[in-house]
Amino acid sequence: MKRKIGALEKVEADLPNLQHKIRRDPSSYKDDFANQYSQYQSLLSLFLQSPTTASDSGLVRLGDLIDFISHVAECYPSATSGFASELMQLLELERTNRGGILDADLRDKLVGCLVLLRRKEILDSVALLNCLWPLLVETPSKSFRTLLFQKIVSDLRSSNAKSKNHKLNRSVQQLCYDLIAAAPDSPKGLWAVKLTRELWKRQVWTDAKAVSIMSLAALSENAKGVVGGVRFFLGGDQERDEAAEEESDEGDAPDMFKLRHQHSIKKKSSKNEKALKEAAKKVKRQEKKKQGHQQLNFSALHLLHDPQSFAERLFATHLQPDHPKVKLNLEQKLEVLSLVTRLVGMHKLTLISLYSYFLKYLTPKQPSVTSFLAYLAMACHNLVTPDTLEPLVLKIANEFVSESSAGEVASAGLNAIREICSRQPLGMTDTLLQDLVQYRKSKDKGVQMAARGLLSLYREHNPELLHKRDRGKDAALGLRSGEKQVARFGEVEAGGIAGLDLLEKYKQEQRQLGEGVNEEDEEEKGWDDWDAQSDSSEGSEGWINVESDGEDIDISDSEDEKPANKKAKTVDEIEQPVDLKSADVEKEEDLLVSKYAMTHILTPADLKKLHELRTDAAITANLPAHQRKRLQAQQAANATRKDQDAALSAQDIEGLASLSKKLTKAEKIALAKGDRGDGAKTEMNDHRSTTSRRKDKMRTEGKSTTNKEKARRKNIFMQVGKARRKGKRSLVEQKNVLKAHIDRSKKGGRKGNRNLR
Amino acid sequence: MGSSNRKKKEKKQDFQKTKLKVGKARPKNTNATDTSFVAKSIYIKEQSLTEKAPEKAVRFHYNLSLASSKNESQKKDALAYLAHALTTSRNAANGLQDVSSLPVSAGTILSKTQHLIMDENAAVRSNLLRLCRSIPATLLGEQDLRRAALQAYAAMTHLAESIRKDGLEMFSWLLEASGDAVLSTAGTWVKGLQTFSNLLNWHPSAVGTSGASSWTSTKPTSSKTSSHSKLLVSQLNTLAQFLRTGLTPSKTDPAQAGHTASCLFPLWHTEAHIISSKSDALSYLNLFGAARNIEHQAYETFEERVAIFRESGFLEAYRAGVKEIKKEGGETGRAGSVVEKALISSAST
Repeated sequence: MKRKIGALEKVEADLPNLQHKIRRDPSSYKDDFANQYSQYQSLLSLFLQSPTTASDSGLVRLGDLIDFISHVAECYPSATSGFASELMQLLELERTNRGGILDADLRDKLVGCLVLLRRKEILDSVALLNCLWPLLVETPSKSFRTLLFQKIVSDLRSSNAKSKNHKLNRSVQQLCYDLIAAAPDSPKGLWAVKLTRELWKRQVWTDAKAVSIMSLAALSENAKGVVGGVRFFLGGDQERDEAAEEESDEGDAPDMFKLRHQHSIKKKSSKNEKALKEAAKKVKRQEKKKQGHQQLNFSALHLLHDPQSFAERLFATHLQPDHPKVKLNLEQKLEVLSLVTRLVGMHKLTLISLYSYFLKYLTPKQPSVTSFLAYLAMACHNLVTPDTLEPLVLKIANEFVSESSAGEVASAGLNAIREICSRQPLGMTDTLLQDLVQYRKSKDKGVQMAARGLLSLYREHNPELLHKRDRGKDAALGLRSGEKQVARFGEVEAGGIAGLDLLEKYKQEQRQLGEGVNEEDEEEKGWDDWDAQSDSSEGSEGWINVESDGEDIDISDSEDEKPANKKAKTVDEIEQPVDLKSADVEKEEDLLVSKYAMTHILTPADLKKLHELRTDAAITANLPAHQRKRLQAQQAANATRKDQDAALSAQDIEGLASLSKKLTKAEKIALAKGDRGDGAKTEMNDHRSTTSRRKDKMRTEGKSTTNKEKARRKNIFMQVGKARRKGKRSLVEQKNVLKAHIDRSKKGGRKGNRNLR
Repeated sequence: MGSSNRKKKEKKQDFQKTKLKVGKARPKNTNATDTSFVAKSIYIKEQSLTEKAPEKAVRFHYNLSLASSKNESQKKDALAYLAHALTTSRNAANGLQDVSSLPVSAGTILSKTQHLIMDENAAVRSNLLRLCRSIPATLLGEQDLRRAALQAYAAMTHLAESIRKDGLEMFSWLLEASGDAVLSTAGTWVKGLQTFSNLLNWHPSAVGTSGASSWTSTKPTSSKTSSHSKLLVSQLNTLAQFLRTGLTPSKTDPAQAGHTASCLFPLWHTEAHIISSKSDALSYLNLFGAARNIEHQAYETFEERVAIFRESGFLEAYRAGVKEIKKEGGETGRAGSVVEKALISSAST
């Protein structure tokens, strides 16, 4: 009789089998595990004795055993206490030996097993990252690097998933920082840049330390590190926002209305009901997540420590010297320049040598000159002295804007001048401006529009520079009445909150609607309460006194009759945001706009209302739909432009240059067909009727057409029979048909609107 | 609606269920893989024929390389050839080992083939054992012996019983061929003790804490099948051999020793002063390796081995284990008593 063989006695009894059994009952298989562990140890010491000459089958066996042990390690914590450190020693050996000693598969397996041990909480994150990070930096194998990078990022993400693991973050950030700081000229710093950028994108790192790593990279002596750092500042935040948006888009909430409708029609079953409930839960969860997701993320440019010295050092190391330490090509230089000018424009830094640096690049023959022009415009702000800008503007005018230059060149020049002057209107002289404005008579459309842009800019900002006939009605009237004052150099307008007047008006209306409470009484009552409380904090009172002094200076001319105790009231309101409601009540009628914000603290509800009012005001309901839409779009564009701290690109400078060029016939046909030069289809220049465009859209979306349309498209062969028969109808039939037709038309068509009558 | 109808049909077709009909072949899945192609292979029209056979050394190298092939029969044949070549060279020299006749050193042969002890094929393993026995053990260096011992330990703890058995045989060959030399290398002695205690479930820690009192605990030795008990017997025998070699002083012929001493009369402890015949004479200093712990330490003399055997509690554990085993009686019991004898001899020394 053939003996039955037990599962583990077979030669092919494999480790996965044993692993499965151990999982179910660790204590019973302790001996088997001990045997396998000692086998692993023997093979390991065999391997360590002569790593290079180890046989393939031995390595495979070792890999299998490592895999097996790391999968069941949590069942025997005491027996496998040294396991993780042994694996890390192996990887350390791989790192220290040049060229690596481990087989590629075994190496990958080791990393995978370590990550597995980390997930089982046998190993802690800091130890794991301390092991993997040097490997990532030093290994020559590309595939291994990608694996390591992926593992490191995923580990950092998972350990920051529930709450920020500050300790871990700090240690890893220190690793990154040290890597760049220790050897600024080595290409290894790129890994620090890559890791930081990835984690910034995933919103794992959002603090100043990450930004300082990148600023260090931007100042390093390796071209890749420099470009990586600079690109982070230019595009890192945008990338982060996009990633966040994508994430929120990912889980599409189920349409509850549709589901409920379906549920009311479908067969009722507990399963369906459960599905409906799940969907409702999901919707709720997502809504909660959306509302709760209000992370305050500062942009990298704002988190930068000491932007002035950073911009100075960037400029001094990479752009200014003739032979910089790091050789950057033009494209890379432009990126650095973009960052420097962005910083200067955003933080209003003073970097005098930057402007003279631009001088030599401002010729039409300079490659990618439009970018230079755009960056020059970005570097301008109202604290740049006019005499530094004047030669630049003059040079642009001389080089670009002339009758003999091509239309694109002239329009680019004019656009650039407009952008510069919109940031610092004082950089322009009247003769030059009057010359430039003449170009609005040009035949070239691009030039024409650019010149008009300049004209309208100066009508608003400084109409005195223009000829009298060019000033326009509003500007002329404003000048005569003295309303239009030219802003002097360094003058700062008193800041206001957009739409505050609307809010004030709204509040007034509410009050008038509301009650007839005696305001004076109310005021005094409030007074008593606040006085007592304000005594307690003297330090804050001192602070407020300073502010209320300023208030006096600002509005002394308009508000003379104001009671003296007003000042003290301000103090108390600031300390007592809870009592805002009553504060609103006692507001005087004749308060200035700016006054409202000074005397009240805007609650979140107020801010929300303000936003609402602003949008309402913008969309005047009596406008026709298309105009309203255009207005909205314009506003949105303005808002985004302001948000981005006026990042300007070459496209803005080129502007409508495409209008200057005369199109060939072929190009016109292509445009009419709806494809642009770069191969992308556009709807803008599609010269078809709106109806046909709409129909086409409907068809591509797979939506149904009207019955009329269907009748028109009906196959001819389906109608042939009917048409044939039509001729052969008898008189009675003919009569009936006609009668039915008349009846139908009386009823109001085939569908009939009898119900209405 | 001519064209649109056709398009609609085409669209629908993807989602329609194909009908199965009786008597007709089942339609192929859309994701079925076409396996009708024939693999391309290289044909060599002519054999390379030469007048004379390749030299012995060349053939030896060739077969040695074949030993790490993936094909089982190739491995088997290569091992058989190597074993044959080794025995013939030995015979040709009339029992004296002719070093020059071997194209490769004995250590290299062993290190290149030893991993086959964990091969799945039984024939390969048995051929490897034959090869091992034909290798002149005196030519093996310390490192080779250590590697072979580690490989044997690994095989002894393999999941498959047949491999365990062959591993035991290889180990006992090692002990026979160069017993003292094997056990004096770094890491073999304690590692061996641990392996056996794992295999027989005689753990030093268990004796101290719970003792043998836990009579309810399942005794893996008695509950298993006959093949297992055979394995157990061979494990016990090998253990006895292992203990005997490790715990007793290596025998030196007193007459021979006296003769050599008289030859070198005025000199004393000559072997300490002359250049060592070992390949790595200073290996005990561990100049280049990682720091060693108890397990990886080298125990060169039998006194050291006895000391560590007692200190780390193996003696107690083994005694308790033997006591249990002897109760079983039969072949197993007899093997147990052999182990006991080895233990007693160690206790007396």
